[in-house]
Amino acid sequence: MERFLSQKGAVAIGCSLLLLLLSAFFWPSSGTEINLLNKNMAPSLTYLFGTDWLGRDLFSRSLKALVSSFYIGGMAVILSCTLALMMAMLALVNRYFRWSVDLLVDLFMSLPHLLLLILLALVFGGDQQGLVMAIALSHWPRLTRLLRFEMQVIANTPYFQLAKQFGHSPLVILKRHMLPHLLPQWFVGALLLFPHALTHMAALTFLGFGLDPSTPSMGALLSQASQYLLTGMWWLALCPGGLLLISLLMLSYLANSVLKIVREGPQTTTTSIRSKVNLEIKPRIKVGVKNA
Amino acid sequence: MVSLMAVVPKWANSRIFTTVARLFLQLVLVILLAYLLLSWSPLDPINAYLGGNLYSVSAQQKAELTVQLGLDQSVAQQFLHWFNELISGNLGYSNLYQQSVSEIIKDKLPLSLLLIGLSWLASLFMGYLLGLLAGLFQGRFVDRVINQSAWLLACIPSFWLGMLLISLFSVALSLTPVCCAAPIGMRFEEQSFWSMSQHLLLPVMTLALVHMAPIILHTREKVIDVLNSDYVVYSHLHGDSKRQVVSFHVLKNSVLPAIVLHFASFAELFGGSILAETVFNFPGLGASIVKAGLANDTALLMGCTLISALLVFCGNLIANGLSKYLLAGESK
Repeated sequence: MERFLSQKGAVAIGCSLLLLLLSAFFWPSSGTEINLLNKNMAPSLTYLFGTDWLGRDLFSRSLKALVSSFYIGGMAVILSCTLALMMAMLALVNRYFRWSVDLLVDLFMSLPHLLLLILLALVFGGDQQGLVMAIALSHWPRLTRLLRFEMQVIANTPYFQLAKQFGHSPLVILKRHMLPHLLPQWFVGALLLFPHALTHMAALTFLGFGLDPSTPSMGALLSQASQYLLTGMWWLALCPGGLLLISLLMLSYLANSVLKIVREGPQTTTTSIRSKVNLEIKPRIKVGVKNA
Repeated sequence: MVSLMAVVPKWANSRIFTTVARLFLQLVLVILLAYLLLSWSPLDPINAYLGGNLYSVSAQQKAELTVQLGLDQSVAQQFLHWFNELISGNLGYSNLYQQSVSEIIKDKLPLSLLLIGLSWLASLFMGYLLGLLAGLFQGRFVDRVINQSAWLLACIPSFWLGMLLISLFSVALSLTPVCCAAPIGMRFEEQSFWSMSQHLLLPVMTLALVHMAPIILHTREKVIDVLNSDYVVYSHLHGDSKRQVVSFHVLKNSVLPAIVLHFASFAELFGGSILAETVFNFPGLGASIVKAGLANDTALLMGCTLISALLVFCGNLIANGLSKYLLAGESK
């Protein structure tokens, strides 16, 4: 956490993303007012993103869509990551579980991602819950594979083996020796998953399998925009998509800086310890030299 | 890192046979999974068969239809029936197109394969070149620009990029056609080469741009690795020029891994083609998957899933074979 705060770029990006989401959430206009006098207007100072074919303010609509996309995407990511962690834990039980979890991961990864999403969305029906379930059930394999890899590394370490041989119960070992190492990885995995989930959600809604077009969401906005593309109304596609892209970039920047911190995590303590040790050792050496 | 692990799985050290067997098992299980998913879905096959006109038949006719369509059997029996038909080359009948599924696939698959193949080649070529440039000029301005744009490309939603390209090149500049794979009223093969390439340009560009990022980043890392290696230092000591080093050491050591990685990402490319074909109204397999899904056309959806699973299977098989070949070279 301290290291995160020491990275000015990441903090600035995080704050601005939070600010964007908060202002979008508390934005007074919902963007549903129809104003036929001002329809099909290109972006200007009054209408930052222009207006659509019913004269609705696209800026308010995009902000609201961003909020709802983040909300649904966030739920899906939380579900998906929990599922990934549980699957990775299941793989620890015994050989057969491990084999079946690996097989399941391979299975889910050998269909194109979007096709799997379409199939799942058909199973769960297109509503909000269906979308959340489809995204949750299709995004876990990658994270599970990563977590399984990490677990393998931890399970081979001496302290883990010793704890096992001292006869601690599996749950205690899991809680004391596995989870503290795994949870940062898990958190980073969730952060890295988030932009993917948002993109896939928009794509699925764009194709017509996701949310209802009447609810504000990025995919619905863009799919409506694609119908008006040929009439030269470029701002309908460019502006909401640009907003989505900017928030995706911010998210992935945040995720990457957290990833860097988690990867280098233990080093900070060792370097600080080493610098302390060096300070203590150096005078002693000097004393030694003098004595010689 | 994840994608690299996909390229070199842990069974890579065993014989080729086990790899093929495992991949084949995966293929069969994936088809089973897709079939199960579709049979669990709340789609009503009778309704789809009647074109949404469920109330036009009496209860007795409905019962007859249920027997005729095999819906009174268990899912396992239905699957076995479907599988037997598949082996004899019959994929079922599409209610949406009023055509047999195998004919639709025969009609649309070449177009999709052309699109995917071209964008595969384009993204490999451009991604490799950019990665090579970035690696050679590590830490310089060019490297930073390429790195940042790879990051940007990885984040862009492909359908949005496609829409922007349409509104820029087709609507504003009117350089390229607006949609489809051929002028209206023509089949794809009937048009001239020039118009063919015009129609293919934007979809290929969209797909290639979006799927370029991993190749760029991977090639950059690999090139930097090679440039820092002992043998390149040795070659420098012998007075080889930078051009010789690049053409002899760097190219040879970085091209094949890039190709392996690219084969392994075949599934993503296919997924991308679903979006690109929908955005550009390209009459390929991806667009018909979407149409089949929206129209509850189970047979067509199942056929398309089968084909895409086969494509991914081939991609993984080639990637596995190549990576084994590479590893064998290393162990010598």
